[in-house]
Parts: sequence; structure tokens; C-alpha cells
Amino acid sequence: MGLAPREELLEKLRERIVRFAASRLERDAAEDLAQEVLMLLHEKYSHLERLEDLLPLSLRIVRFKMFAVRRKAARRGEYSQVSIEDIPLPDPDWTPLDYVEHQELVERLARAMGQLGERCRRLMRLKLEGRTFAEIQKIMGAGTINTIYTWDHRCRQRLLELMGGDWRRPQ
Amino acid sequence: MKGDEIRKLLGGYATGTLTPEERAALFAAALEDQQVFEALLEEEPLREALEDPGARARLLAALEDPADKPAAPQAWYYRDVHPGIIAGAAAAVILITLVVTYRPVRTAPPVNVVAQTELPQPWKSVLPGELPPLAPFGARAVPKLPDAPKLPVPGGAGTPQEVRDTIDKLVAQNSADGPGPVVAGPAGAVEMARAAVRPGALPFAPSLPVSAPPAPPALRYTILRKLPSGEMASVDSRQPLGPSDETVIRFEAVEAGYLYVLERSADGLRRIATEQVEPSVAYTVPREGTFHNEGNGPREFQVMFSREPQNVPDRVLGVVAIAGQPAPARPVSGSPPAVPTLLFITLRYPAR
Repeated sequence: MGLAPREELLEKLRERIVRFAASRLERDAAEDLAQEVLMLLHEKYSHLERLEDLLPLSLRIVRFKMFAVRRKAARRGEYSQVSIEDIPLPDPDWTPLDYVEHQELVERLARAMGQLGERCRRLMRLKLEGRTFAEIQKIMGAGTINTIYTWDHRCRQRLLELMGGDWRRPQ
Repeated sequence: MKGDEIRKLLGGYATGTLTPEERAALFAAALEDQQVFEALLEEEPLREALEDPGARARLLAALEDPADKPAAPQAWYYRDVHPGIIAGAAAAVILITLVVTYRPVRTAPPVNVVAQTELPQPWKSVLPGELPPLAPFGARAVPKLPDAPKLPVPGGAGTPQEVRDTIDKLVAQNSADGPGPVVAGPAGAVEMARAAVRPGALPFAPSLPVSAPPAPPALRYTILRKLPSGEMASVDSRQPLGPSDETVIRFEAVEAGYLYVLERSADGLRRIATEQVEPSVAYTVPREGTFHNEGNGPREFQVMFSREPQNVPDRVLGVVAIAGQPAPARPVSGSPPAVPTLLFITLRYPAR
């Protein structure tokens, strides 16, 4: 008997989360983290069934979960299990630390984008204005959309280099 | 899409550029490919940051192309200035500083703050100013009358014979000199004359003393003749003049007063000079020019000098002789008025 589509999606998500967390945490901690993510999706977001909804949400939860684990380990000097109540969900009411990090990231991005070439700058401007790749292709006069994909990929790599290899603050 | 092409969609995940189809393809690939999944996780911070509209606006501003924006007018102090202008201005400043520092100090000429107006100066004669000293007043040889007996009328009945003789002698002498002045001092260039006005002797009305008048003011005169060289030389008043001689009369008083000079002519007296006289200052009559021979013989002048101004008309017709013209006495108030000095001067030009 096969799994339901949602259960199948969650199983695949768990596998990806465990592998991601295991590359950064201990195996047990990675397993626990993945389990907590799935529990949260199951308990609070049980109404979501599409991949386009579950994947971004799971990515966000994993990210915040990883932050919480790192903060707690930094405070206690150890890695411990994080209760489900400690998982910070996307919340408009940021903590001061979140706000500072957010502002710092924006400023670093602004400085890095200012150093991009003319084409990358224009491409980034069009993306931030909400244009799709198809619209950008027409505006910039590219022959195919793959050309725009390639340009954007290169520009993203260049921007990441200017940011120090990581969107977050380089450690 | 192949794996490489799917990875190229990562750049549109964080910015929300992907279409629903692209998103579905990317997520499906992430679900199957661990690298794509982790790449999406790496994009999470950027996606979260770009969700904020304020952050998007800030990044758009950073991406704004300066060439697309109209150039704002730049303040003048930010504009580029040609190096030559800067060098010229610096050289001008240095030059001005050197000039101001090392230029010789010039002292300005003194400025007369108060305007000096020329004070009125007494008119000075062109004639020689050195005059012989005045003869002492009263030193002239005036015949002294003997003490006369108290008679109501001189020469009247009952007058002693010696008195009659003296009177006759004085009258004869006075008649021989004519109506001229009573000359004081020795015969020479400078003569002092002083005479008391006889009642009725003048055609005008001098201030006549009524009782115990003060002594008349002293006045001396000199007749000067023009020499061929142009210089003026004094001559004796009794010396006959040549027909071509040019003369002037110079007066000098010891005290201040008023000088009136009248010339006698056929139809009367004509005033030719009036001077307010300062002491020890020479006044020449006429002021300009000279007297010369008019062919009518001697020219006679009557001179009056008084301490107070007198009422002397410009012309007195019909008065030929000074005798027999009773002059009205001026009303007297307070102290008696001073007695004026009268002179009779004759320039003895020959008749043609």
C-alpha cells in the first residue's frame, strides 16, 4: 500500500532535512531536528498539502531551528534538544537581534550590489522590481530565457563572492 | 529541466522572480536532489531579507544607475576649477600681501581742517612807508595871542589899540594864505595841521563843539609827486608843481577816525574820497591814479578828519568860499562831540 501524497512529501522532506542537519550537527541531533520539523508541520500546518507550500515552510522552520540550536549550544556550551515551544516561527515581531542582523544583511547586500557590473545591476534591479525571467528576457533583449538564467546565475555567484561566500555574516 | 538548468533557477527563488511553473520545478528538484535542497536552504536568509519592502527599496536605491538619474546641480564650491585659475588667484593673494607688507609708507600732506579765510587787510599804499617822525603836537609856531581884556566884541568900540593891531595882523596873515590850512611844523614833505572849525566855515555840518570840546584828532599829510622813473617823492606843499606833474596826497592819522576829502571846483565842492582810517596806516588819495594839471590853476582840497562819522554830502553846489556859510549845529546829547580836524590842501598847478 503506497503512502498518501502528503505523507510521501513529508518523508522526502525528512530525508533532506536529516541529511542537511547531519552535515552540521551530530547524527542524533539531526534526527531530532528533522523530527521536530515534521511534528510542527503535522500539528500546526496540517492543512498544507502542496509541495509549493510545504517545502518553503519546512525550509524556514529548519533555518530557525538551526539558529536556535546554535544559540542554545553557544549559551550552554552543548547541543541539546530544543523543545517545540522554542521553535521560532516566522513572526513579524522580530527580536532586536533579528532586526539588527536583518539590517546588517541588507547593508551588506547594498554594498555588494553596488559593486556589480552594469548588466548584473540591471538584472538585479529588474528582479527586485518583481519582473519574471521571461519579462527580463524581453527587457534586456536576450535571445533565450536560458541566457537570462545563465546571466542571473553568474550574477548571483558574483554577488555571493562579494558577500564573502555566504548571505549570512561570515563567521 | 536538467540539473544544471534547475540550479540556475535558484537566483529567482529569493527574489520571487520565478513563475509558478519554475517554482514547482525547483521545489521538485530540491525534493529529489540534496544539493538543490541545501542550496535552497542557503538562499533562505536572502529570501527572508528581500521579503521586507524597505529592504527592497534600499537595494533598488543602491542599484540605481547614476547615468539614469538627472544630475543634480552641484554646489559652486564642489565644482571643478581650472588649476590655472587657482594658481592665478594664489599669485594675486601673495602679490597683494607683499605689496601691502613692504610698500613704502607715504605720509599724507597735512590737511587743513579749518578753512582759513583771508582776513580783511587794511589797504596799504604803494608809496614809501617810512615817514619822518611826527612833530610833537603843539610844537608849531602859532602866534600866541596876548591876554585880551574881556571885551564883548573883538575890535568893537572901546577895544584897546594893541588888541586891534594884533587882530588886524592875524586877519591880514590869514587873508594872505587864503582859506588854506593852518600848517604845522617846518616846511617840508611832512606837515602837521590842526585847526579848529570856525562856526560857519564849512558848507557841510560837522560835529561842532558846544562847550569844552576835546582836542581835534591829529592828521598829517604828504604831497607826493611822481618822478620820471615812476617812483613817488614827497614835495613841499608850497612848492609850485609843473604842468605835467602827477601827484597824490597821502594821509596818516595817529588815531582812528573818518577822513573826508573834498575838492573845490567852480561850482562848489565835490567829495572825492571817504576813508575809515586806522591809526598809523597810510591812505593815499586818490586810491587809484594821480592828480594832474587840469589847466584851471591850483587844485584846492578841503579835508576833514574826525573821530566820529560826519554827514558829508557828495556834492555841495554853489559853495565856493568856506567863509560866510553858517553850518547848523548838530544836536548835542551827553558829552560834547569831538572837534574834527580841518585841512586845506592846495596842489599848486599852474594856470594855462
